[in-house]
Amino acid sequence: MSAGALVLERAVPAPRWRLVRALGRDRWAAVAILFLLVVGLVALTATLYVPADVNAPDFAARLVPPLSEGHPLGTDQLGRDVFHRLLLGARISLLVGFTTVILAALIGIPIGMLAGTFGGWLDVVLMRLVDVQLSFPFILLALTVNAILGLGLRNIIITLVIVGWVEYARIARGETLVMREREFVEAARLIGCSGPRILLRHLFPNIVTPLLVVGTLQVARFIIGEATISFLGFGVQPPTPAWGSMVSEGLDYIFSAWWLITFPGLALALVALAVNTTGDWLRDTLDPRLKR
Amino acid sequence: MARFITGRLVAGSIVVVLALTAVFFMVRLSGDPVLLFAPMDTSTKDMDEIRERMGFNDPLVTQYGRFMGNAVRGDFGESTRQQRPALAVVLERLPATLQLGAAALVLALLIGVPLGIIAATRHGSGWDKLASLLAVIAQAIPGFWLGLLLILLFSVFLGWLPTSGRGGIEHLILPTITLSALSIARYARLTRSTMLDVLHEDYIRTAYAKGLSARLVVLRHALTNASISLITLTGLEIGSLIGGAVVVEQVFGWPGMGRETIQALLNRDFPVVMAAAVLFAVMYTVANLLTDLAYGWVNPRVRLQ
Repeated sequence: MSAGALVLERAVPAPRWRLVRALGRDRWAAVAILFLLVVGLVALTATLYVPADVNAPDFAARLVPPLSEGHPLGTDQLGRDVFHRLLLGARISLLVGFTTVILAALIGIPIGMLAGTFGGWLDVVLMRLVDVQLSFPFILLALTVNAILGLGLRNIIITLVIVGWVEYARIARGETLVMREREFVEAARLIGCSGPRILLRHLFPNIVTPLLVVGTLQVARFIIGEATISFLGFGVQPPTPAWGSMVSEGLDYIFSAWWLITFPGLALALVALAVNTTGDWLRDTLDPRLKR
Repeated sequence: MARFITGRLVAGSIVVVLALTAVFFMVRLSGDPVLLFAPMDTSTKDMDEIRERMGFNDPLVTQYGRFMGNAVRGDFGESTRQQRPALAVVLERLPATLQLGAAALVLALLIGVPLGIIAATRHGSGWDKLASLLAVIAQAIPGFWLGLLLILLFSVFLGWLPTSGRGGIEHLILPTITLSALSIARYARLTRSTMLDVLHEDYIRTAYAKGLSARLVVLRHALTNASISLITLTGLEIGSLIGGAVVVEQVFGWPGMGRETIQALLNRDFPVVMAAAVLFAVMYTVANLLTDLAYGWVNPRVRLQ
């Protein structure tokens, strides 16, 4: 085998321009990414223009319907502005979504790659762990871990990482199992590369694409997971404005104030939709073999 | 076939044993398990007494052996709230959950599969686009919010259906739709893609060439062959329906296992939580087992492996 063939075999990471050009061809993906950027910007800057007393009750303005003066999305049962709380809620959703995915990836990918490379007891333990974790409903597992650890934002992130890292480990393992048989890994070993070097420089770049795609789709899953946990009364507690707990607080007023449960849920659905669209687009662009 | 069934049974039992182990260690995740089993305002002295009585002072191995021994006999201790066996508390809620889950599965099959067939046979048509759009939306909408929107529309604004509880068929409609939404989308998507693959096969062309009607070719020849992947999906769907039921039951006040578990978690009634977690894992394992058996029945190649 010539040296040229080896270079070809090692999949080169996609140049950035290819992504940008592909984005121009996919209108919906462009809209989704733009929307996410706006939401991200809003989340970062929300404290600059949202009044500091956003959680302070204003009983004179209780349950004001949407499109009222000064309250575009109405107010809640304590007279707090729904729009402002929604903006602050974006911070929690995005923070939880992205930190949990990154932490879960940092734990799951190395374990999965090691299990895929060396096999043995690590592999057996990992795969049994995957089986067991799949046998519990995701939300039940998250609720139980959260109830044991205690409520609050920090614990919800820990909860989701505990529940979520296995998915990365599973995929990293599967991809590593396929890749380690390929010639370029064999070649790297033959020219005397060390184990860590093969893992990091040769295997990892070749399995990063499916992991990136899964990671993107996981962001939506974790955001909805946090919202569901907070909605059920665990996780983020009132008066902190998380979208899930906002819906939960509005539940008692479902007969008189439809907007309290509608807008936070809509925000969640739109963000999840945008993240999923981005993930699907990433998959179709970067990894056509995964295309459905 | 007997060997195949035995193999699957052993694999299933291993998962259940490991699930029990996971539950055992999960309860010890907090450091001091007695905090999970004693009422909130228990004094330190009473705490020590409970700790001794429940055997939390024994070596971990002894505790584990006792837990597993009791668990296989169905003994997860007494519910701290209801003062009766935890498993009984959960088991009496099982029929409600099975009813909701079965209704959702049937609805998902009845809508999802035909939608997928139409989307595949009229590839690129408005039906096809509608099916994809529905799938994308169903995947982004949080389950609890979909349930609330349906309540808002059909119970609050239109007043057609009850908001919560279990009773006649009218109580079942909204929870079933909520629970099945995601499954409908997945069935439609999978049916569409497998049918698209199958419809290009030679034997389909042969069937048409023999002069069979399009309906017969699609339903008899193509769908039968697509059904193998539908069975695989059904196994996964049962698992996700069981999980989805936890949230849907809470939204609709449906008196099933999921709602009981959430109440137990809110009340910190951990014997009930443990019993429920194990029962969920058993249900999932049984569902997987049935899927494997159905798979072996439909696809002779699997049996011989």
